[in-house]
Amino acid sequence: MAAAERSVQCGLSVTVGVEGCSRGPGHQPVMKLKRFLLRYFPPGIVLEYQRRNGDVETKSIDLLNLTPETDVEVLINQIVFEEPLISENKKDTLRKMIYKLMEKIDNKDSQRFYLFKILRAHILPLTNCAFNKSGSKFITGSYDRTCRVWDTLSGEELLTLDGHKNVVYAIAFNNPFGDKIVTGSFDKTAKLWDANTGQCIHTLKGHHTEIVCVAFNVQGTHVATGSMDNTAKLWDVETGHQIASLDGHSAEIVSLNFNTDGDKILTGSFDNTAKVWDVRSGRCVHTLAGHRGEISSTQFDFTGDYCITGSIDRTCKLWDVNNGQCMETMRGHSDEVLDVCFNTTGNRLVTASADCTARVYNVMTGACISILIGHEGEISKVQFSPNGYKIITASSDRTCRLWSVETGECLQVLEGHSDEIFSCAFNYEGDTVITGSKDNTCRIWKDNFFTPADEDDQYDRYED
Amino acid sequence: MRRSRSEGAKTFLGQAVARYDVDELDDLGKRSKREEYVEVKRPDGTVAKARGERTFYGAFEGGFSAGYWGTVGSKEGWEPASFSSSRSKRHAEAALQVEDFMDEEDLRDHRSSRKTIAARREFESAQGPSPNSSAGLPNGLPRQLEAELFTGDDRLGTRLLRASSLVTPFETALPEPAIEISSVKPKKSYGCARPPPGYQAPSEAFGVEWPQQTGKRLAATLKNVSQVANSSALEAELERLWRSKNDLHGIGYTLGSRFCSANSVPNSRRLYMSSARGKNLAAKQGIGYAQFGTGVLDQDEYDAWEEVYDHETDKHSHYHPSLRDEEVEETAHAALSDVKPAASMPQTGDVPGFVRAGGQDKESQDLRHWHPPPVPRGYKGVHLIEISPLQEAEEGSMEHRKLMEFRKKHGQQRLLDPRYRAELLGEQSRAEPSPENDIAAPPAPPEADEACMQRSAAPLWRVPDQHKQNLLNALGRHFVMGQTQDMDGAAARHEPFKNDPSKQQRYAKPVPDYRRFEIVWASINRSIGWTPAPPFCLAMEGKAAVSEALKDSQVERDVEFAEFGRVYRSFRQQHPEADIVKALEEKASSQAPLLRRTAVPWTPDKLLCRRWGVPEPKPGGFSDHAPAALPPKQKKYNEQVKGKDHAKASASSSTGPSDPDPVPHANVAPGGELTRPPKSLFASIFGESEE
Repeated sequence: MAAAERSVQCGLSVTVGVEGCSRGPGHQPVMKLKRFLLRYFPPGIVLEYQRRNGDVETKSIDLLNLTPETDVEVLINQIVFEEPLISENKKDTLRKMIYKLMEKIDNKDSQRFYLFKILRAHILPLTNCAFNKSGSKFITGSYDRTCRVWDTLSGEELLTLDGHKNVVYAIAFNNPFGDKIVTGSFDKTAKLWDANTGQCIHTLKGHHTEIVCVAFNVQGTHVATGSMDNTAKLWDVETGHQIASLDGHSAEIVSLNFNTDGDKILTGSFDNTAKVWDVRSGRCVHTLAGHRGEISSTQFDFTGDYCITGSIDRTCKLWDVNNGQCMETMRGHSDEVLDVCFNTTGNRLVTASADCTARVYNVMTGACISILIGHEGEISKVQFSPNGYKIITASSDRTCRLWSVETGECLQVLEGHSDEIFSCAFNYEGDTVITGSKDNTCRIWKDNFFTPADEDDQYDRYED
Repeated sequence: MRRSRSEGAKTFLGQAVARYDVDELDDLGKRSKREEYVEVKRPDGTVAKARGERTFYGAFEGGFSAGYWGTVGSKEGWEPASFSSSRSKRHAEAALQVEDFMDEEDLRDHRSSRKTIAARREFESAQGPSPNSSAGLPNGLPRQLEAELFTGDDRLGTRLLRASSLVTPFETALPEPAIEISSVKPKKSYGCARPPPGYQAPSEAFGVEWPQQTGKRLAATLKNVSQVANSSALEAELERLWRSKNDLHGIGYTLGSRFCSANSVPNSRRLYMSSARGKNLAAKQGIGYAQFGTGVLDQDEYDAWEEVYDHETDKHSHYHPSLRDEEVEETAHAALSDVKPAASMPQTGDVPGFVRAGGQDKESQDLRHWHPPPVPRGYKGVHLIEISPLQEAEEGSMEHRKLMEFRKKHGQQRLLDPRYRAELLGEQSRAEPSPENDIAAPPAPPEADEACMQRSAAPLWRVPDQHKQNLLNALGRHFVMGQTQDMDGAAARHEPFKNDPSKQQRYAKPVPDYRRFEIVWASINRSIGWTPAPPFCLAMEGKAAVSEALKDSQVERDVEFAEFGRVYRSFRQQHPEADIVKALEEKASSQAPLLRRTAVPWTPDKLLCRRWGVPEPKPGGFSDHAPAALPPKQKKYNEQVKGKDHAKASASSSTGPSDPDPVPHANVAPGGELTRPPKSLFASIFGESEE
């Protein structure tokens, strides 16, 4: 088993990324801790350690329930008690890291965004846009058959990924690495690109119709593509070969996600079902049936234990990935649900609907926390800010809106696009927003307190 | 102010009325703003999104409709569409046409007739510069005809009409006939034809009645062969215009006009749409069909009224002779020509086209013996109701006289007594009364002649009311009264084999049973104490016997199951073997079932409890949706975890006594009891709130 996971109180979970990691009470650990890495969103501590045979590996301690009110000492004691890699003398470092995480979480600055740049390189409407993990670059796909790579800081166009013979509809970075890009096109192919040079590494051919969704796994080893030919396919990034074809849906696949561990794929289809697939075998593990309309959007939560599906039957459903049972049905929308999204810790979810509203739900209780009312057109895309305090929605009324999650009030309206907005994204820091519109432009919005990131990676490093 | 008014209107009128109906919007080709979308169809023909919301047009087919590479044109270049404004033609506004005065139905009829009605140019020019000059009288007659009718006329009706029309009719003679009328005919157009060449304008001195003049005109017309067709067309057109609306469509039919065709029907044989209508008539309220309000009388694309009353024998009986068909007019003309002009000369105050009441009005005489034509097949929804005798008596009919005589003879009391109905109506007994019947007859009435009349009716009225009702039911007819009238003919709709009575009977009662019939007949006789009429039965042969037998078998059935009603019968049909009595007894003896309500408290899913470290609501490892095989495995896992935690706790407590704060353990405390997680956990799960 790739990951042995134990959940303990405070939601602390330890994920070991290697096999054969064993520990015995009272024994000297067989592994040597090399350094701590800090992960802000969702809060967690990554331990980099060296095995006896010299291999360097990582494992993460997820602090998903960390809040500014958490009792730090209790948490530290628990971590030290449970994690053999962390000894008593690391308590100070651990405390420092946890306070840093809490500080990051507590950052609720109600900053306002202003328009930073308008990018007019595309000559046809945009389809999608996406940041890399650090937020230093982002990519935009367009109906003009190109994908372009942009520098967030300057707004310059770094690369043009030209080669598709039709609309570039789906794009993705291989986050967290950010060195590769995959693009799915209506020309029935997907292409892998080098994000730094713009070279096409592989062309993934095999689908019979348009590709509408693509995704990297977190490990960056696989790419999955979903197509209108009712299949999803799994490709090897290194070789560009097809690993598996996920056949089973009876209608178009419109949504596709890997879980955090990268061992499962979730596909949503117009056949009213979603399916969970095992990556290794390429077999369908569960069919999530229950919706009475086409699935519009799907997502795993961070832990990968449950997932959510939004449907045009106006509901979204929470599913247990392990047994494929529906745990909760979120109702309330008066029109189709077009997009769904978890926050980074997975305790909130937001649904965007064609009834011009979005709704925030508590995942635990299934209760609707707030309704985001204000848009005058259908909301096609919704996303949480990384720290989970804000939500951004993109609508056909040519505006994007920022919302407070807990109160549901509209914090800001990002106006300026002259046509409907198809896509929007927060960067990892939460201080930059990009919006892609039908008016052929992409706009960068930055907050007032923007300061250039001084970190190369998303991790703070604490050398041992 | 405005707000309060709108609120008041809302409360008063209910929901605001949309300007257009949904269907009208469809007809107009309009769509609401929200529905403006492009449907994207999948290869199999279904719409990509269930409600066809806006999507990228053609995106899924590999194309994109936004133009050629971001431009509005094509590969060949952009070419604007040509457009010419109609602004310069605005002065050429058409004058009002006859069609402008037609309502929807008339317009439809007119269009379907493929005739064009227009005033000819020469008539237009002859009229004044008034914009209304081409418009005619309010009833749609062209101005020219008006002039022709009322030239030099100073009678009362003319003056009335003149007053009612906006423009004074022409007092002058008609213009000179133009020669080139018939020669230049590029388009087949019918209009108010000019008078034929031989025609002379009427003058007061001659005092010729108008119908006669029409005859003259027709005669003159016939001389000119080329204009025959034209003239007959004219007459037809005239008739159509002159006729009042008689198709009973829509609202406000004929406005209670005395000239309406419906009112020329005698009151006793009037078509009523509802019993309320009959009541109105009895109460002498409202004669005209304007009281119809909204309603459509026709069905299946053909006009019931026309079918009923425009029978050949009586066609246009209510029209003025001048508006009849040609041959009729010829005969009328011949008849009139025998009469001296002086006799038929209208007196002052008469309106041409309308005869005096005391004159030789054939129609008014015939109406008394008017019989309705055969009802067309499939006709329903209109009921012929005899008017009440009293009402009719006031109008001096034969029945009235009979009734008055009867009342004079026997007094009011007997008039109302149903026992004397036979005498009053002059009914005769159908069969010769047998001696038994005479014995069974009631005590003799005071007068001898009454007794002999009663003899025929007596046995019937001795039947108890209940049995009578059963008998009526058994006859298989529906006697609907008053408001329960079967106005839409729902009952008739379920009778197949309309053309074949034998088939129809077989359909209604499929099992003839003669023996059963005899038994039933005897039982009925016993039950009602009526020992009749074997002759009546014996006389029946063949089909008649079968049908009667069927009726009576149903009598028996109805007597037996009357209390269970229709539901029982349908049930019985489906379950012929069911023991109803037993079931009813059981039902009566058993108690009504108790209503129970089960309330299951909401609990978070087990997975979610694990995710947030909340104690599981069902600690036995049971999950709402978990498979049955899971619990033992889960239990084992829990035990292992518990054991490990125990060992760890003991080890840490032994090795590290300096640690003052033992870490709170996972879900299960050492004692095996569930511990309440710290408050911060709840805060993290449920947000800031304390709940």
